[in-house]
Order: sequence, then structure tokens, then C-alpha cells
Amino acid sequence: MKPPLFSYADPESLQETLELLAVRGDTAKVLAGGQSLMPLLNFRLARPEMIVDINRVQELHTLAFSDSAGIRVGATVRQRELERSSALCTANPLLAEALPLIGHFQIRNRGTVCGSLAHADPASELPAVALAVDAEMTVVSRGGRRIVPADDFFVSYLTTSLAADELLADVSFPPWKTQDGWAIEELARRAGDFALAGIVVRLSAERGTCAAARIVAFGLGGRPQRMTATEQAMLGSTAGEAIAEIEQAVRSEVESEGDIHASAEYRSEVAGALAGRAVTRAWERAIATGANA
Amino acid sequence: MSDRRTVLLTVNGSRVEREVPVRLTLADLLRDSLGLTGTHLGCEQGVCGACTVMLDGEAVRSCLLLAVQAHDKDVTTVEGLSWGGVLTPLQEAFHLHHALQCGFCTPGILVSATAFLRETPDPDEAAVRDALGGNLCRCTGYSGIVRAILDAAQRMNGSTSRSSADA
Amino acid sequence: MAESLIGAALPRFEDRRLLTGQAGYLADLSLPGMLHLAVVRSQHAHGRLRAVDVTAARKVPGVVDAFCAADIGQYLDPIPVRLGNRAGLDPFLQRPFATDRVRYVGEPVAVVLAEDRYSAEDGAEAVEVSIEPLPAYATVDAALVDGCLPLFEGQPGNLAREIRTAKGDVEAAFARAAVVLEDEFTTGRHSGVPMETRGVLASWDSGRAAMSVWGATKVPHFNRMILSRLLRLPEARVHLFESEVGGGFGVRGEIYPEDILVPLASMRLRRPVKWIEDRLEHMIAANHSRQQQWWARIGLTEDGQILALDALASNDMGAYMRTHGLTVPSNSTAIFIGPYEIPNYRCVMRAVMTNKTPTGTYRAPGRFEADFVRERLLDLAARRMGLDRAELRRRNFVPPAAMPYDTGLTVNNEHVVYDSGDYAETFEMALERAQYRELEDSQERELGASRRIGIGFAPYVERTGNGPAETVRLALDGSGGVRLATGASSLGQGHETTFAQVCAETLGVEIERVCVERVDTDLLNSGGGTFSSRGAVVACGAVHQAALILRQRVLDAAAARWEVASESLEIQAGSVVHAASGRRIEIGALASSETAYVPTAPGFSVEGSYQPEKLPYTYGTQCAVVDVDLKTGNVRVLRYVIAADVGRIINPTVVDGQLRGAAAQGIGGALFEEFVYDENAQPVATTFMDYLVPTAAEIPDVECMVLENYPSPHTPLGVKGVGQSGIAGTGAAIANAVADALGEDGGRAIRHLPITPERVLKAIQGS
Repeated sequence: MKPPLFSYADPESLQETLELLAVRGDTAKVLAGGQSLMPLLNFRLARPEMIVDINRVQELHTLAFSDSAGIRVGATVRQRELERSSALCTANPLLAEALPLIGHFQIRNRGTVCGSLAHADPASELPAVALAVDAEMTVVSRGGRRIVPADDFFVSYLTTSLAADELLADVSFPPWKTQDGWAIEELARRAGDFALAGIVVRLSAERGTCAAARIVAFGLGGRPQRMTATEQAMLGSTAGEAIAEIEQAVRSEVESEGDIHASAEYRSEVAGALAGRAVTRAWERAIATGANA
Repeated sequence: MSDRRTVLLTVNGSRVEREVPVRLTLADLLRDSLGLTGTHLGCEQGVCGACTVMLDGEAVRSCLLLAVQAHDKDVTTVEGLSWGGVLTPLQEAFHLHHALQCGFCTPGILVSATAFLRETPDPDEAAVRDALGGNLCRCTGYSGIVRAILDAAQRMNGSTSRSSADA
Repeated sequence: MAESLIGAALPRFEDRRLLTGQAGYLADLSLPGMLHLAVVRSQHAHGRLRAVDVTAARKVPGVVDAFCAADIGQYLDPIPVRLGNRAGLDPFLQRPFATDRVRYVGEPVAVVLAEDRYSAEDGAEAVEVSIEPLPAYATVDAALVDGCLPLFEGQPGNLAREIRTAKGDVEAAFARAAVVLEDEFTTGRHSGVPMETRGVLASWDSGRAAMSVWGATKVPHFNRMILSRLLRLPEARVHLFESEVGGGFGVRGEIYPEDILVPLASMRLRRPVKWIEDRLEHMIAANHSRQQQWWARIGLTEDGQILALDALASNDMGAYMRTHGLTVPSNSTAIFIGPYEIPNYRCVMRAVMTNKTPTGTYRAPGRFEADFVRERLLDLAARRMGLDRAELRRRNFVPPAAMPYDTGLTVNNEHVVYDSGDYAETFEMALERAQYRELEDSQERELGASRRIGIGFAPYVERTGNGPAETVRLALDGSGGVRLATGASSLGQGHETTFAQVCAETLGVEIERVCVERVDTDLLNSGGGTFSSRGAVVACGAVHQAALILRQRVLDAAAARWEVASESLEIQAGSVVHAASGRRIEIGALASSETAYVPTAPGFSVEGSYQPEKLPYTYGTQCAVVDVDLKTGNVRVLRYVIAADVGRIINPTVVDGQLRGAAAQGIGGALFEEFVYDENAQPVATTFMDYLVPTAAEIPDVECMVLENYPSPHTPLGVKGVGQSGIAGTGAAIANAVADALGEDGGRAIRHLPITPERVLKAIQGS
């Protein structure tokens, strides 16, 4: 399994990169971590005429933590770099819990945060987390720059709203609200595999009831799904006690697809069970940390 | 934008220069161009871990890197783990604990474990098993490998091993 | 006295080169002028092969040549069956290339030769293959439907053979049985999947008209014979060499189409040719195994004595009959009764051709499957009767007093007789270690709100030491070194060390003197190979024989020199010693010639052969403790225990390693691994993301207790093989444990491997 022929460019500036994409974008592929693209090349499932390797573009390697602006992760920042940042646990505990679930450490040493988002595999954790925290993507092209909210960024299976001449330059995770509880639960056949079903939960409690909730299901096919109906139903409830209802609500709300590893029905069933577990943990954390009842 | 490039990199402490097709993987550069056949190809998909090498000190899949991406970088393969024929404590431990049978997965595991122990010098068994998740072995059933890594960690630190398994 | 090497836990000699990346696996070898070969394979599961056009491929940069069946007319003889009863199997054999029909996705239709593998793959993409699709049969049931298209012209259908084995009168027995239970079971398609894929390096020397081939393993001498026949070369001009091998498990080493195509390419191009299979190819072109479906029925007395066992089963053979012929289905019928006294038995096993990758043997072939069905059936029977599952086994084990136990079955002209053992002994050991009684008695199996623990076990008996004689040549040189050559190639199981242990101890020398050669068909005229747990039994038996002969030769030489009786001499630590007079001489000195022109005197190279007249049967019990998540169906293996008696241990570390490695593969087959096909017989699990080999996170530390209480009366050292033991009962132990966790109703549905979380959840919800 060897890659097909392609030409290769490794620009050193963002401008040069965008110039290349403007001209060759239709038949080019951006190479960052390579953990998703290289297998596709080795299988000859991807046959770009040109590979644009962005690993030497210094401007894309920013990683910034700020109380006011949250976390900004540039396109070439490795998953491991973010995972190991000492600031991460407090800056975004959900990300801190999700990152170690991605593949294995050898993969995370090269794979990038933005790369995982741009690749948009429905079974990936990062797109679901991005959706759960309202991350914003900075999309650049020769023609300019636009900010895309996560919900608009993920379109469907392996498809984002990136145009052929556009590059995901960075992703911003908003500042974490300390009173929020969080949890991520997934079912994978083996540790590190893509999830058959997964749930990300972020919620806050006020006076003992649920004030805000974000539930995102992933691994079910297509794109990460917000369980808006379930979220609505949870408001004002004592989420910790309404687990059975939440499980059922998620079970009915998710849209699942089947494949070699699991049928659609099974995925929906498990999504419900995982939602119960994730909400339970998130609720405990919300009650513990958001002590202003 | 030619389809060949010259790469200059350090491999196991030595500077090497090669002119390569841009689509050549790092694994194939190491194996075919440099004759370092200790790094093995088991899947060319990044799953089995047999091709794991260190790039600037981090364990990575050489089957998922282009050789041209290793330009100006420092690569360590299994051949570079030990010097002068003296086995490292990890390699010794593998030998003593029968952590290998056919040996095909072994180089990738040695490199991964070396990187892992640098970062986590005193792991418990669960941490070792989790860290091994990215390396497949078909022969040993993993017990010997886990024992070897825990033993090596202990030797290298002199700290008490936290293995829950009996010897 | 020579130190006791047999039984010593010596670390292996092989390790150093493997640990330092200095070992040469097939892909690491290189010859000057070498070309790389890529295989073009059918993308259709069934079809008429209309045309193969390599013109465009030949023009791709880097490509040197490409050819297909039309170019190699006289070299298209089919690959014959190596094992067992071959009658009537010829129509189902595979040729090196598809000629008029393709019968599975992955079947070779052309090859491309290029300066490197990258260009070879470019060339392969440019080969134009025209196939007219035919209906494809993805299952045994589909392939047996009346009126469906036979895969092979002239055949009435796709049933290649029906194997019938019987003893006693099952119908009469069922009529008087107090309890009768029947059910259906399936084992999913999976296989050895070694970490090293296959490969062949061939070099044709047109000057000497000699063919050298690297990559040989498992049965090099047999393969040499077949290669010479199919390549139309004298056997003496075909040389097979072993390189380092990255695991075999029964899958690697048989003759495959590529083993003919690569040497042919070398002959055609007069350059060395190397082919390294990639993982995608391996998943569709290397032998699959294990896919069986069973209906089985058991009849018992009200005390739980088994009166009769009856089964109708089918083995999915895939598209062609490979070198193993009907070995796998026959093995199932022979081992199905297991370690129990069962007076009445009938098994009808159908070997059915389907449009999928051909199948062959994989560790404990046919036996993993049969053991699963039997032990599952026994657990179901115990539940039905309200009898403790362990008690049911106890009431039926063949007792030690009955050994040797003639099962009354003859399969493949082989009489199935268990040689020695106490099945209950290992059974009790395993259950005690796994705390079966405590778990069974405890009502508290819950782990938190939605998880339950289950415990299951499987006693098994395993046939070992099968196959032809093995030959070993030992040569003592003038400097005292001992070279050992054998046909029993190593696939990673430590032959270099274990054979040296047996040789050194028998001969009376230090182990460092013994050099075990890599297998080379030129070193020996006759060789058997490594399969069927033969290494310790047959190869070591031959090592022992050869060492005895060499020992006598050395003693005779000393006796002649000193004019004493050879019976008064001994070899100790490499020297011949005459106790009475104190004289001693280094064995190398004895073997030295008197003239410098001939450093080693003639007569110190000997051959010993061995084949057990009757087969040794190793046995044991495996026990699994699992944790089942009742809301997701996910299964975790918490503990895995094996108690096994192997007769005599040569190297305990190696034995342990074999058991653990086999158990890990068994857990893989029980819970994770499956070659899934869609309804058009297109393979779907073709990568490591879809075919799930378990990792260290999924396999627990397997606890092994190994006994030597019942050596085999049939082997000179008392050894019984162990290579396949660790996997024999694994499917059954895991399934019985999961069923136990699910309880009476949910558990009944656990009759199909692999036990995926979805199947478990369905079982829970169905109850």
C-alpha cells in the first residue's frame, strides 16, 4: 500500500499556503498531522495532484491560553501538545478528558487538533467537543478570513463547510465556565478505536436544577448531533434524577447509521445508555463545582 | 514543485542525506534507502505500531510520514536504542521476561515503551497496558511485555514496581 | 552429568537479534537487480474472466513487465492438496492465476514487475481486467440452494464432500435418554493474521538452471517438491531457504498462488523478484478459517451421563480447496467428543465451497470450533437439568484408569486414541484457581448498577505431533561445534533454543556448542515441517534420536582409540570420560582428522528421524471470568486461567508463552475478530480498523498452571505438544462465561462467535 504520485509543496508562510490553495485547491490536499490523510494515500483512496504540507508554517503553530479568550489552537498544534499543556485541566476540563481517548499516544504525537476537526470523522471526539462548547473555527483563504461556529462547520460525513481554497487556521474554545459540569462517555470495541457511539455533556446547575445543558452525540454516522430536544427537556429538571428519561430522550432523538461494527438500532440504544452515564457524572461535577446554588 | 527532493536528517545520531521521491514514506526511507530494516511494516495504516520510530524524541508512525517531512529532524529507530552491542535495561527485561516470540512487533514496542517510560518513569500495570494499546502483538498475549516494561521501569528508577500480577 | 537442560527456563538465543533490529525477515532481504512484484486481484467475488490486458501497465514508468495466465500457459497446473484424503478434491483446486473464472475477491489475475513497489502498484492499477459478473454465494446456505450455480463446472453443486463419523447407535440412545437438548451454533470467520504479512523472494539462476526461494516456512521440503513439480524443475535444482518469520499460526507456509508466480516471474525476467504482501492483500488472500455452522443434539441420563452426541455441521471452505484439503472439517468431527466418555456419536460435516477467500488451518484447526459447540451444549444441558455445570463434566470425563482411551473413531484413516492423562485433575485446578465455587455460590454477581460477572470454563483435549517423520542432521566438527539441521522451521516459537536444549542434554555437551541452523532444504534430504504442535514432539524426538546416534558415534571413536568398551564411557560437558582410568578427550579432538587438509574426520555427521507411532494428546481446562455491561453489551475479560498437562516440559518459559499467546488469539476469536462479507461476497473487514486484533488493554494476564504428571507413553521424551492448547477451549470458555453473566434466558442466545456487544445486548433484551 504505497501512495500514488503527487507533487509536494511545503510553504513556510501562511500567505504562500493560501496562494497555493487558491490556485490548486480543487486538486490539492492539506497535510498537517497526516494521521488521517496518509492512510487514505497509502490505500490510494485519496489521489490529490498536490500535497500542501503546512507543518513549516510558523504562524499556524500558536497555542494560547487566556482567561478572557479561552484557548486558541493553531492548525499545526499536535493533539499531544494540547493534552500535555499544564493549563488545560482548568482551561477546559472537557478537552482534557476527551484528548486521551483519541487513538493512541503515537497518533496524538503527530495528529493535530485542527486536522481532526477538518477531517470531520463522525466517530471523532474533537468535533463533538467543539460542538458542545461552541468552539469557533477561523477559516482563511487568499480572499479573506471568516469565523465559523462549530455547528455550521460540520456538515456531514467527512465533510465540513471548508471550500477548496480554504484552510482551517485555528480553533478557539471559549473560556470555560467554572460552574459547568462535564463528561464524555464513549463505547469503542477496543481502547483507542473510533467510538461506536459517544456522548459529550456540558451542563450547569442553578438552585439544584439544570440551568443549561449541551448534549452532543457522536459516532452514530454523519456528523456530531446536538440533542436539542433532550437539552430543552432537561432545563429546570433535577438532571441527576431524571436519568431514565434522558436516556430515552436521547435514544429517540439520535439519528444513527449502521456499519460493519454496529447496527443503527444498537447505536441509538447505546447512545441512550451513555447519555445516562455522562449526564450523571456531569451533574455530580456541576453540583460540586457550581456551589452557588 | 518537483517530485523529488533532497532530505537531510539525523538518524540514530548520524547525519544522512538522500534524494528521494516525495511520495516515499519515512518507513521506506529508513528500511530501503538506509538499510535500517529493524523498523517493520505491518499495516501501513498507523494501527499496528510495528513501524514506530522516534521523531525529535516523540514516538510516531513512520508509515504515516513522508520521508521529506523528516528533513532537519532527528530520527531514532530500534537500531539506535542501544550502543556498542549493550542491551538497554528495557531490552534486557524483554529477554528475561520472554516478551517476544517472533519478534516482528518488538522494535515498534521497544521504541514506544522507551518513549512512554521517559514520560512516565513509574507507571502501574494499567498505565502500561493502556500505553501498549497502539502496538499489536499476535504471539505473546502481552503478559511478558507488560512485565518487562514494569521491570525495566523499576530497574531504571530503583523504585518499587506497582505490578498487580504475580511474577 | 550434563546439567539438566530439558526443563530449564532458558532465555532464548534468538532474542538478541530480534531486540536490536538485526533480524532479517523476508521484506528485509535484498538481492542485486531485484524487481518488485505486485499482484492484480479480482474485485469481483464471482465472474467469467473475459480479458486481462497488461499493455498499459507495461508502459507505466518504473514497470519492467506484466503478465497473466495467457502468458504462462504450461505453468498453470493446480496447487495440490497436501494433507489427508485427497480423493475427489481435484476439481476444486486453485491454479496460480485465474483462467476463465474468478471465484473470490482477491484471486490473482495478473502480476506487475517494477523497479520498486510504488511503481509496481502504479502498474497494477493500469492493468485492465474485464469480468462478467456471476451470482456470488456469500454463505454456505446460499451456496447449497437447489439450482444455484456450481462454482466449478461439471460439479453437481458446491458441496465438495460430506464427512460422516459415527459410533454406536445414536437414535436408540436418544430414544432412551431422559434429557435431550438440541440447538444451533456458529463460529465466525477469522484467522491467524500474523504481524508479518506473507512474502516471497525468488532468484532464478539461468546458468545453473536453479531456483532459489526465500520465505519458505512451515513445510519447506514438501513445498520444494510442489514447486519443482509446478515449475517443471528437478527437485535438486530448487532450493528453499528460511528467513526470520513473523508468526505463522497455520496460515503462513502453505503453497499459495503467489509462491508459484514469484519464481515464475524470476524465470521469465532472469532477475530476482521480491513480493511483499501488504495488509490489505493479506486480509483477502491469505487463508481464512473457523467459519462453521452447527446443529447439535445431546442426550443424557437423568444422572447427567452423556448417552449420545449428534451433529450436522458445515465448514465454509471458501472458493478453492487449499493445501489442507478437508483437514479442518475432519478435525472437528474427530475432536467433537472431547475429553468425555460418549458411547454413541454421529457427526455429518459438510465441506461447502463459497465465493470467499479460501480457508485453511489456523491454530487448533476445526477444534476451536468443535470445542466451542460441545462445551456450550454441555452448559446448556446442565442448566436444563438444574445440574451444576462442573458436576456435569465430572460425571463424564474419561478417567485415568481408562487410558489409553480408544474413542472408537477413525477419521482420515487415523484411529483416535487418547494416550494418557487425568482430565479431572487439570479441570479441578483451573476451577479452583478461578474461584469457580465461590463465584457460583455467591448471589452477588453485580458490579454496580448495570454490570454482572460471569464465569465459564472449557475442558479440552488436543491432538499433537501429527504428520510425517521429522529428520534432524547433527554434525560435529573438528573444533567441537555441533550443527543441527532440521526441516522443522521456526515461526517464532523458539526452536533455536528448545532444539538446542534437547540436543545438548542428550549428547552431553554445553548448550553453547549447539548451533541450530536456519532451515535450508539443501541441508537435509527429508523434512516434515512445523505444524500441528509437532515441534516438541516430532522435531525434538528426531533431535533426540540424532543426538543418541551421534553420541554413540563419538563413544565408539573414543572406545576404539583407547581400546575399551564404549559402555564404559560417558560424555560430560563436551568431553568423553573413561571413569575407570580417568582419561578424557574433548569431542572436537575426536572428530579432528589426522591430516590438516581434512579438518573434520568423516563419519561425524549423522541423521536421526522420528515419528510417533501413536499420537500424544495434551489436555487441560480453560476458565474465563468476564464482566458484562448490561446496558451496552460490552464484555471485558477480567481473568483467564489455563491448567494444562503437557507430558514433559522442555522450556517452561516457551510453554508459558505459547499458552498465553494462543489464549490471546482465542479471546480475539471469541469477542473481536471476524472477516465480514456483504451479501455480494465482498469482503468488508479488510483493515486493522475493521478486523479487530485485541491489544494489551483487552487481554488480561493469563494465569497458567502447567503439569508434567502424565507424560506420553508414545514419545521418547514423554513430551506432548503445546502450541495449540492455549486456544482450544477459548471460544467455549468465554461464551460460557458471558452466558453465565446473562443468566438463564439471556445466556441461551449466546451461541455465535464472535460475541459482539450488539449480540450481547440483543440477548439481554430478547429475554
